[in-house]
Order: sequence, then structure tokens, then C-alpha cells
Amino acid sequence: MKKTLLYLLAGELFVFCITACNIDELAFRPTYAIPVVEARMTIGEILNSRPSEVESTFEKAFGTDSLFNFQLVYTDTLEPLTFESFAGTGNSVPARSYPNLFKLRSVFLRMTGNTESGDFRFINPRVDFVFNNEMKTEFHLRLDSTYTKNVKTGVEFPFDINDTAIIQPGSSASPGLGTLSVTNENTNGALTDVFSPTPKFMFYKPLLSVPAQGTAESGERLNIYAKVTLPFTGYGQAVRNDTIPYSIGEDDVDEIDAIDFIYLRMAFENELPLEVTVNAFIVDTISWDTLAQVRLYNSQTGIALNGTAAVVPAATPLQTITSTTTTTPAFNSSDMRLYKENPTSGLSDIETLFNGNAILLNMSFKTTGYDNSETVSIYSSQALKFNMGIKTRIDASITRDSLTNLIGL
Amino acid sequence: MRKLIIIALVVFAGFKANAQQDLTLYNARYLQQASFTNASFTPECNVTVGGILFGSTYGRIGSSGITRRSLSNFIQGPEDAVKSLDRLKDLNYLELDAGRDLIHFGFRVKDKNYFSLNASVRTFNSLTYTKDAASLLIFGNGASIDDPGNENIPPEYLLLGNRADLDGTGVESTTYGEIGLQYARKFLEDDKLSIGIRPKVLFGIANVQTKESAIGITTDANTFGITLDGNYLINNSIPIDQEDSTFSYPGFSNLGFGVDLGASFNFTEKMQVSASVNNLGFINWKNQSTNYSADGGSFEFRGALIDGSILDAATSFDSLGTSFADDLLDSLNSQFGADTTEDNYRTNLPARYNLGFNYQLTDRANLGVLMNAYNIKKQLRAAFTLSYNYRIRKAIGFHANYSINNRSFTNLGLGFSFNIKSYQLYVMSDNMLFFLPNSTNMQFRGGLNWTFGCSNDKDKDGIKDKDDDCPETPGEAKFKGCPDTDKDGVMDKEDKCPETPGSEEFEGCPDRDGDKIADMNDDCPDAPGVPEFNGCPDTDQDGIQDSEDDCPTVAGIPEFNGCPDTDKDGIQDAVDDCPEQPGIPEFNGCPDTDADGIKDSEDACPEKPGTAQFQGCPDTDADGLPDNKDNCPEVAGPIDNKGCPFGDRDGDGIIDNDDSCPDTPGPVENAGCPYSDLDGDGVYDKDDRCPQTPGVFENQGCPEIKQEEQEVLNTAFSNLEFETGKDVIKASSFESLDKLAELLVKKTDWKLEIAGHTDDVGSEASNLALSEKRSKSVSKYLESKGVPITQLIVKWFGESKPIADNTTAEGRAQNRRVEMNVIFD
Repeated sequence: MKKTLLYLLAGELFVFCITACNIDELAFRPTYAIPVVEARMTIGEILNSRPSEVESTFEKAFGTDSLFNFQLVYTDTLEPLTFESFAGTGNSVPARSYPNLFKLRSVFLRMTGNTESGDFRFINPRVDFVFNNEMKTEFHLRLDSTYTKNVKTGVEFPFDINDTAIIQPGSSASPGLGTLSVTNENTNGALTDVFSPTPKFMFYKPLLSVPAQGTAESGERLNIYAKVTLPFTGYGQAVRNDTIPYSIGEDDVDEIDAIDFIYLRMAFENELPLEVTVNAFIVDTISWDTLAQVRLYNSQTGIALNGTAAVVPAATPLQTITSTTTTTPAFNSSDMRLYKENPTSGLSDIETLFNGNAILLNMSFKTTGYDNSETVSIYSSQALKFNMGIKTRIDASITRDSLTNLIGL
Repeated sequence: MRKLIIIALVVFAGFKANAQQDLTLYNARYLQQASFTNASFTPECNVTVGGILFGSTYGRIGSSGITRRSLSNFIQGPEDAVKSLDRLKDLNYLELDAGRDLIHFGFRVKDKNYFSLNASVRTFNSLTYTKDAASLLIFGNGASIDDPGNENIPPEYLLLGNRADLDGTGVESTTYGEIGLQYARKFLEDDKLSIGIRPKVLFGIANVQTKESAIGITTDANTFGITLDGNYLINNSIPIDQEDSTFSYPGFSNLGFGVDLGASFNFTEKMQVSASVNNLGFINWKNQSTNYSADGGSFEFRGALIDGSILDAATSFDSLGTSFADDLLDSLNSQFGADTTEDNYRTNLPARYNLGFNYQLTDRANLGVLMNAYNIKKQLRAAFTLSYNYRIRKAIGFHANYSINNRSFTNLGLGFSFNIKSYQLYVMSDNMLFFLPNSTNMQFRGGLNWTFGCSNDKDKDGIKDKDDDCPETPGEAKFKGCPDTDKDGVMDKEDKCPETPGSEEFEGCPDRDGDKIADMNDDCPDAPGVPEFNGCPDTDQDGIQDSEDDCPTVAGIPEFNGCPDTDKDGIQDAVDDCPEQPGIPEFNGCPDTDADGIKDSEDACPEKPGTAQFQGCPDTDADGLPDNKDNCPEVAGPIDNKGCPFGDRDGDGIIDNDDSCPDTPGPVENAGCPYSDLDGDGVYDKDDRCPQTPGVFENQGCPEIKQEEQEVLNTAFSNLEFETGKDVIKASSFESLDKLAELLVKKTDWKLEIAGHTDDVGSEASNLALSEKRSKSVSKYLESKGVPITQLIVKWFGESKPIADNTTAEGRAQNRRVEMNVIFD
């Protein structure tokens, strides 16, 4: 019986050969499209997706029960005031004013450190100075000569703090507390400029007085923290560069010819009033050569984007928001297209990709209506929906020889 | 997983196919193997043994749309692939049948009974697939018209954004052993009827069948998200040990039964009809039977789901890839993972139907027509075959046929058989043109039999077959063994009327009516006729034979079955009221020359289209008087003016009949007469306040009073004062009155109306008197200054016409006045 079945199989192979084996080459070029990623992320999830010194919180939006403004919170530690600073006798801290005890101090505001070419205007920033007193002495503290200074341009942005903080005595185990808040209401400087997030130092001079004699131990200190709160209401733009490394094995290089093209499809539905423009480059991080710019194309029209067109379009804020809807979402779909033979340049994008080892992304962010200084708000409910997929055409041509080798004949 | 791989191997190693066909073998009835196509067929020799050395071996490949050319097109580039896809229907198949007889032994008992026993192995395999499945295989799921090189590919083959319909896609693969016992018997006089049956016991070896499949794949054009929908049910019974992958024969586990039925009937010695139904049966699969099923509904995969928590963890693409794969597999498994059972199941054999007709041309040759059909997955697959079959004695058999087989038109079958002593070798194919690019079928059968007990004088007419030109039919020696049934001296094979005595002049047929047309060709064998009508008569010689001529003795035309139409108006004379005049059907063949619907005989104006109201005459101007009685036929006019209109001599738009002044233009309001203008100033008297004095239109026909003249009047009026309670004019008034007098002297056509008025102080009578006096006082003064009395008209009204309030001093002052107004005749 087995023999009979083998005869049958042999006969079928014979028939197959009659129909197919007289062809020298099998040209098989299917195109496959597969989804890779589906994402829906709020602004907080996006910013918290990587380790950051930024704390993102939400505050209930004015006049609503279900909407929350998104805000950024940066906390910087200022240089503490130590017991040794006071020229007391023994452990005593004499009751008097200390106008010249501390000179002008400065601190680099970390919240401004990670952006370049940025231009932000937050409408209602707030700065809370938090004092943490380990000494058994009550202090009255005022900050004088307060301003920030742009690191690059040297331009100073002064602001006034008129209030005096009353800092309760405490101990290292149970520090006494005191706070000093600065908002647009008590400063003559436009805080929107003062804390616009370009790299900046903040300068201040502590003016201290002791209303009644107290005591302190060596090592005890008055810690100062500056907590900058930026409700995300305003307008701005920024440019950010990111490098995404990749590696392709040497064996894979042999497969270059097997790919006609690769489309990396990126489809966005954006509820955030924020647009993103992307320029991508294939780079060699060893020589740091830019090998090629990766062109982006509009998925529907196939027209190449010029590098200034938004890859992620900005949503349009509604005139009248509801508890669930604050913007009209924007849609866009773009392709990163790599060809074996680029129709424009005639070069092989895919070979370039194989020669490089990283993609440099130059991303430009801009709020809706930025050019007209239009203020937008970002709410916790706003999300960016993102779908990424890959489409590729495989050139799986097989020659008679390779087929013969494949089936072992 | 291993089992799925095994299933795939069984299916695809089998290279898809189905159901034995044997279109050529059907007509090689002298072979024992022809009984596989019709169980009533029996070989000519009494004993036949096959299968021991070279048993009958059969193989067939068929497809519904794929040809050798299209197969190569598929793999030679997209534009060529399109040509192949165009050939496919919505649902298509690929098939392969194969079989071999291990032994086939048959023998005849008492001439009329024949038995044969066969032990065979057969396999039927088929793959059914949709056009979209082929598109998916060739172009993938992501191809779109916008891709480079796809400009000329029809959009329906590019599946991005469209559902790839795989409904009905599946496999049928059955391999089994068969032991069959044929019994055939001849009935009726001259063995005209043969009936045969072959019951068979089946031993299933392996099977895979897609019982149900309804699957679709949709790739979203924007996100590339993939949606799967559908369900499937797959049964299989594979005799391969799962532990060590070795084959283990299932023995009698998969038992089945089947039957072939056949019959053939000889209407005459030359005509035979035959029919058969084969492979009615089933196999119950019990050996390692497994059933996979899923009812997936709809499953959508849009990529690895990323939210904030995943981003925290996904610090590299590797982890993202793991997430992607896990998501996909988990989702697919939960949605489309197969439910597995080990229930037994049953498959039916692919039943096949044959209907044949054969005509014996000579003792050696016949023509055949065969219709063959089978049904798989509710699809009828049919073949139609024309064959020519020839045998030279028993030594050589030759068969040629042409088939249309499932939309394939390139099928030329050939078959040969050779009898050398006891050896009977045969090879045949349903399609020798399988090498052509458009071929979709390939089939062959071959084998070797041993035959015994073959007769040397089969028709037993005393003439040995080798000397007998008609070895199958008893005949006479003078005709070399061929018969002359009607004994007219013309042997049957040259006698066109073998059952009726005739003459050699008419190839053995008679001519009873003597019209020189043989009865066999004479439709009217008992009435002399003409060749044009196959021997039937045409008495009136109008080219229409009498049997179809309604007027057989009068020459007529075909339109009226041989009856005449003299005036050639298309109405035959019999029903034509005017047979000599061409007419129309509405008037039974009578004419209506002016085509106004009134026949000429009743039309007062037969040459002019008219109406019935006027006996067929027209009324061109529609004034109710027909043209033949209308003096003005083209101009509407009243009947009492003989159809002509009345005149309007003065052209004022009012006909003279209604015009009081027919020769002078005038308005309707004045009955066609003009208004009078006595003073000739162009203002009609009815509108002229001064009808006898030429004036100006602006002053309603009165002479124009210039502004300075009006000033003189106004000044005289305003300056006029009297002594209190008297009619004495104050001196202060004189100057202005003098100027007025001077003006009046110049204006001889003016008349000054002087009207005196008072307030209501005092009695009415005294006031009236005072007003009279004062007006006359003014008149006298003016007269004294040279104004003719004829130009002065004096009136007085007392207190009767106040113009202001008499209760105030101011009002009373205004009411005390002498008005002076110029008037004209």
C-alpha cells in the first residue's frame, strides 16, 4: 500500500514538473501590510513615558467638575541657609535683621534645560518657595533682587516678591515650615517671560530677620525649595532632536535586493492643540555622517512633505468646551518611504538604511495658533491616538537553480 | 501543530484534484475497464484478467481556471498575473484523481451474464479557492493602485482597503481502497438492453475535508489594521502515528460502501443510448478522526496596544516586538483557536453522471456523444464530448474525441488498444493537448489485460469474422457477411431504406407517386410534387406549396399565405373594401388621401386635411367657418361678415362697428370720438378751466399769470384797508390799487372778480351790506383809474365765508377782506 501511495506521489510530482519546471525564473512580488502599533496616550502618559525630573499633575479646570488642566511642576533645590551663616554666640541666634548676611545667589532652573530654540508663553505660572527650617528659631524671610537670566542671551527678567515669609522654628526631625508664593498678581515682572522655558538661571537675595532670639545647632539649616508650577495654558514652540538607534545584522544585508520598498505608515488622530513637524535623517553615529534624509509623504496623496508640513496636525480648540470635548481632533497619515530605487534620486534608500545605524529625528512642536499668539489649554482628557504599520513589497524571485537547491534535487 | 502540518502535507503533496472522469474510455467498451464508466458495459471476450502485471492505472489533473500559461503568468510578473486572474471565477478549483487496479478479473456466464471483481486504490483531491485568495497570494494584502508599478493592475485585485473574500476556500482529499463486484446482464430481443451494477466495499485510508469555511481578511488602507472574520470546520483522518510520524494502515476502521449503476439500450442496430451513475457511496471515518472548528466572528488586530503603562516598560524595540507578537497570538488564539473533537464523521464519494449516445457508422466505426457531470461543493462541473471510434477487427482499436470540459476548449482525447494473441494493451488520454498553454486538464489511463474465450464468428452467420465485413451482424455471403433486411438486392449498409424494398435508382428506397423523388425524400409520397417542396405540389405556382397556401388555386404572396393583394396596400383582397385602390387598414383598405382620418368617400375636401366637424374640410383661421365657406380663410372674422374682420378706418383701435366717430381717432372712453378744445390751446375742454381762452397746460388751460403780475395782485389785496366800519378806502391803499388798475388795463382778456367779506361783529345784514359797499368801492376806484367795467365783477358775501377764527381779534382781522381774483372766459 505504501508503495502504491509513493507511485501516486511520484506521478503528481511528474505532472507538477511538466507545468512548472520549464520556467527559468519565478517572479513573485507580493506586497504585505501589517499593523505594528496602536497607541492612545494622554499628554501625561507621553511626558511620563521616559524618566524625567518633571512632575506632571492635573488641576481641576475652572468651572468644571470633570475637566482637569494639565500642568508641569518643576522642583529645584536652592542653596540652604546654614546655622554657620549666623554670627551668633554659642548656639544662639540673635534677634535682629540680617540684610547683608547673604549675597546674591543663583540656581539653574532645570525645567528650562532640555529644550532648544523654544519659545513658550505660559499664561499663569506660579512659583512656590518652600522653606524647611531645622533651627529652633523663627525667621522672617523676604527675597530681594529676584530675576531670571537667559543663559544664551544674557537678558534678565526681573520680578518682585512683596510678601515676607514667616518661617516657624523646628528641628531636623520636625522642621518648621514656611512658604512664599509668587503669581502674576504680586509681581511687576511678566512671569510668562520670567519662566519661559529657555535655559535660565534664577537669581535671588535672601533678606532675613529674626524677630525673637532663638537657638540652633551646628549643621542645622534652613532648606529652600523653589517649586515652579506651569499650568499648560499658553502658547509656544520648541525643537527637539532624538536619535533612535537600530542595528541590522550583516547577514541581513544580503536581503537588500529582496525588498522593493518599505513604507512606515504613521496615522495620527490628535486631540491636543499641538502640532509636530518631523524631519528624519539616516545617520552613522560612528562617523556621525548624515547619510540621507528620509522623505515623508502624505499617505493619501503620495505627495512628499516639504519638511515644514505637520506630521502630527494640531487639534482646534473649541469655542465652547464640554466635559468630554475640548477640541476638534485633527487627522493625518504620513509615510516614511524607503525604496530599493528611489524614484527621485535613483539611489537605494534601503541600502542607505542598512549602511546607517540610527535615525535622527528633528521634531518641531508648536501650539495651535502660535503664530497669532493664541492661547490654548491642555487638559488631562486630551489624547494622541497613533497607529503605526509597515507595508513592504518583497521581491521573492526564484531561479531554477535556487529552486533545485531548495528541494534538494 | 504537528497535526496541522501533516494535514497541510497531505493536502498539498496531493496537488489538488478530484473525481475520475475517463471520457475516452467510455467508448472503448470492448475493454473490461470501461465498466468503471458504466456498469452495464461488458468486454467482448468471455474472460478478462487485468491488474497483475500492469494493472489499469489512472491519473487526472484538472482546474477550472488555471492553465499552464496562467500558471506561468502568475509567477512571471504582475501584469501577466492579471491575465491569469481575469480567467478565474469567483470560486475555482484544482483537482487531482489517481487510481490503480491491483486486480480486475471478469468472466461471462451463458452469454448474457457478466461478472467482474476488482480491487483498487483510488485518491480524489481538490482545492477550492476564491479569486481573492489568488489575488492575496500573488499581490499580498498590502498592494494598492498607488504603489510603484501597480498603475495598470485592476483595482479589484489590489486588496488594501478591501475584504479578501475567502468564503468557500478549502480542500477535499480522500484516499481509499475499493473491492467491487460487477454484475451485468443483457435483456430483451437481440440483447437490446443491458443493465449493470457494481456494489463495492470501501476501505478509507486518509481524508481531509473542509466541511465549512467562510473567511475574510480586510486590511485597513489607512492604519494597515487587519480584520479577520469567519468560521471553519475541518475534518481529517490521517493514518500517521503522532509519536513517530510513521504510517500505519487503518485496516477496516474506515469502512464505507458504494455502488455504480449503468444501463444501455440499442434502439436500432445502429443507435445506442447509455447512462450511468457512479460512485454513489460514503465512507465512515473512524481512524484517528479529528475535527477542528472555530466560529471566529470578527477579529481586528491593529498592532501591539501601547498605553502609558506599556511605554514605561517598553524601553527597547525588542520588548515592543515581544508585546506585538504576544498580543497577536493571544488574540488570534482566543478568537480563532480551533475547538478540537475526535468525533467520527462521514464523507460522500464524488458521484459522477454519464449520458451517452452512439451511432454506428459502419461495422468498424461509430460516432459518440457523451455528457458527463459531477457536483462538488454545490458546483456542477460538466464535460461534453464528441468521439469517433474505430476498430480494425479485434486487433486495433482507435478512439479520438474532442471535449469541452469545464470551460476548457482545448481537449483532444486519443486512445489506442492492441490485441496480440491473449494480450490486450491499452493507453488513452482525455486530453493530449495538455502541453498547450491554455490547457486546464490532463488525464491518462493505461493497462494490460489477458483475454480468453474471444469468438471467431461473433454474429454466427457462418462467415468467419476475418472474412466478414459485418462481424457483429449476421449477413449473406454475397454481401461478404453483411445483411439485406428488405431483400431488395441492396445490402443494408448501402440501402438507405433497409427496412423497405426499393430500387437501386433510389439507393434501395421506393417512389410511390412517381414524381421522381424517392419516398424517403418525399414529404408527399402519394401526391406528385416538385423538388423545391420535397415532392409536395404547388397548384397555382406562386412558390407556396398547397399545404401552406390558403388560396391554392389563385396566385398570391407569402405574406398572405398565398392569397392575393391586388392594390398592394398590404391588405389582402378578401378583406379589402377597395381592392383596386391602395388604402389603409383603418378603412378596410380604402384610401384617406389627406390623412385626416376621414376616408375620401366621406371627405368634402379629400385633398386637404380637415376635421369631422366640417366634413373633412379645414378651418385655417379657426373662426368657426370652414375655409371653403370663408371669404377670409386665413384671417379670423365673424360669421355675419362671412369670416372677414370689421375695419378700423381711423386706426384708433376701435372697430368701425363700435366707433361713434369711425373716421376720427378718439379714445374708447369717448366712444371713439375726440374731445373738444374750443380755444385750441391743446387742453381738452373737459380739462380746461378756461375753455374759451387759450392758456397753458400748467395753468389748466388758462393764460399764464406771471410772478410779477401775481405780486401786483397780492400787494393790492394785502395793502387794501378801509376806514373802520365804512367803505372808504384808506389812502395808503391807493398806490397798490393803482398798479393793479394799470395791469388790468394792459390785460384786456383778464376779468377781476372782487369779493367782499366781513367778520361776524354786528348783524348779518349790516355785514352783508358793508361787504357789498366795500367791494363796489374797490370796483369804482379801479374803474376810475381806467379799467373797463366789463373787466370787473363785483360779489359780496358778508360774514358767510370766514377764513379764520372770529373769536379772536387776529382772526376777525383776516376775515375782514376784499378778495381779488383774475378769471377768464
